[in-house]
Amino acid sequence: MATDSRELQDLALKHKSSCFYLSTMNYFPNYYSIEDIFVTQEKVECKVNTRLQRMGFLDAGAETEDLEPGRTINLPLWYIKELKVNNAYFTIALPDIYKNVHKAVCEAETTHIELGRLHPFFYEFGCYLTPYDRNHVIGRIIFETLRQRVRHLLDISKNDADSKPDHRLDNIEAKLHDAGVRTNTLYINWLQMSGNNIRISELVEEHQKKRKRADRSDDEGGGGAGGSGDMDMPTGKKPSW
Amino acid sequence: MDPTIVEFIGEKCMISIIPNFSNEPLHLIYGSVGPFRAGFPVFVPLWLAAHLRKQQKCRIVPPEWMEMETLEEIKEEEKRSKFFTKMPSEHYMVVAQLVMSTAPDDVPRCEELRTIIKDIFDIRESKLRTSIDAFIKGEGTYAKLDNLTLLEMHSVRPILPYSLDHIARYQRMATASQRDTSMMNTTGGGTGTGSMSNSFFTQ
Amino acid sequence: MSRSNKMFGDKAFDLLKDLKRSAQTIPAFDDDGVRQVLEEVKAIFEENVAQASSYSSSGDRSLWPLLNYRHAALQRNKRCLLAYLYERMQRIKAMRWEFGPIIPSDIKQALCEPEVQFFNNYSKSLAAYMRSIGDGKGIDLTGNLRPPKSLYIEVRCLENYGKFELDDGEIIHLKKNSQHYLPRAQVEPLVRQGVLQHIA
Repeated sequence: MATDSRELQDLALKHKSSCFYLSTMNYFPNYYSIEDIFVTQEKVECKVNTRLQRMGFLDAGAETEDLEPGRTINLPLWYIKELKVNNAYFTIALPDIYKNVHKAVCEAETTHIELGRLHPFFYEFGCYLTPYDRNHVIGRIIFETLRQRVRHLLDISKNDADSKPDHRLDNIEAKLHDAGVRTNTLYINWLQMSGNNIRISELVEEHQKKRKRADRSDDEGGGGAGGSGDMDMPTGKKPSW
Repeated sequence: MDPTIVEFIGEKCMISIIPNFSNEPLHLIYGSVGPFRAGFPVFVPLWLAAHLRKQQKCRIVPPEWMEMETLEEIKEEEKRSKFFTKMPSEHYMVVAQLVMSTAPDDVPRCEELRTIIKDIFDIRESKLRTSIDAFIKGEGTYAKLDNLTLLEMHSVRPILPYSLDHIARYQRMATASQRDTSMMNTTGGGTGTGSMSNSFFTQ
Repeated sequence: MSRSNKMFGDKAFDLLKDLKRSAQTIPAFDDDGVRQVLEEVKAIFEENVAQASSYSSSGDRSLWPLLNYRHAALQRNKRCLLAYLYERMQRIKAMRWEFGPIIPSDIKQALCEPEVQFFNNYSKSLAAYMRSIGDGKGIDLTGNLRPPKSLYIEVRCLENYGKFELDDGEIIHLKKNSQHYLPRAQVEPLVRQGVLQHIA
């Protein structure tokens, strides 16, 4: 029976698709985009250039009411991006992560970089920083890095569908990876002639699982890590194609 | 596109069957098929062939290309060629899949055929990945991919267009930032956050 | 102004963190969180108005950076709030397509009153639209999401559902673990809702 491996893939599919209704659309930052709000929540290091009255509350390490020149503080990107490069108040210090991959980019060796570990929003965060980069390298680095890594993304979304390489991929890449895994799963289902079957809707299934988990933890008096059982995958059963 | 939809499109391909019943022509929405005479081959759409075969009402005549020697040649040619070779059918995977799963008894050496067709698909798919990679890393702005079948195209969708979207966006941004900052440096730029200063009283 | 570890906009951001954590469901509407953000917005706005008007009388620009910062914070809060509502609305719409016109009560409890109303209105609009198309016969757009292969399918019952009446008037008893051979179009919603499982 093909049922077991089909269920396995269903599980894998559900596990990967983090956002059910957007999975048919490409990510593009916009006003309502939660991803973009996450990116703009990131902090950026800034040097204070001039005394800023009553802004001392931004400096956790100081007790003064004003923000004193020479101090270094972290400000959220949602504020930084409203500032011009040559503004009189702050000088933006660019994080080293981009400089650090520069060599790898030049040598076309970016496939091995654990991008997710460097920064969860490596590309989008970098996008916001390019205007403040007087050397004009960050933009190039981002562009070249993705250009070099697409092949790798195509390959891993085809081959290791079961092991999501979380720390290796940045957020944008993880979404691309999900899309690839989804395509591959649909293809495998089709080969096994189960593509046309009607399935339980994803939301309903999630909801049932949640309810089961709730029931179970009621029984156990809310004990420990009991809830993860639903996601356990049968091992040793690989798609046979 | 979901492979089930590619299959749905491919099911319009005509295929020869030998019915074991006789019947008047069937008048369907997109055309007529038949008449059917027991023992005489007739061309019908693939979906109808599969349907009749499941009910034991016919035997499917596999298309000419569905035989070892032809497919061996195709496979060799595909390996040799830098480009995609023309497949014997725009929907070779769909036809193979449907015929071999509904009527394995009608196809001689069915299992071997299944394997070799899968091989051909895999060779083409890995070729596709290699050429995508070369295209993205190269300087070209368009790519020509003749003879790619619908199912093959959809093996890299949507991940490929999605990736290209992001790459294009980052490229635009990289060039734009270069332009903007150099302009700002020469004009001196503003001192504050000009764009917002007019709107303090609106909420 | 008190010095705290919390920055402007952090509370609003927490709302979105909550949504992102539970991407496959809809968490309970955070009334309290929303109210706190609105209060923060109001406080920022009032402070800015006071200081901006003192600026227009005295011409003293020294508080300009602070005004700018607070204004950005205000915009940030607004964006987070709107994104929170928007994202929930998208999920509520998706729910109509996945669960059908009736959503489970525990999900309904997670919605605020205007959201329940939105769901009902959306559901009605969709139903009216589906009735109006297809030569007056109506088409169920939530069905046949993949090309059907046969008119009848084999299903297994996953729960004690009770009686189910087919279009021709025949009544089927859907008991847990029983198997049936039924018209695909009529049982598709039950499969999508997890009552039946499509086995062949």
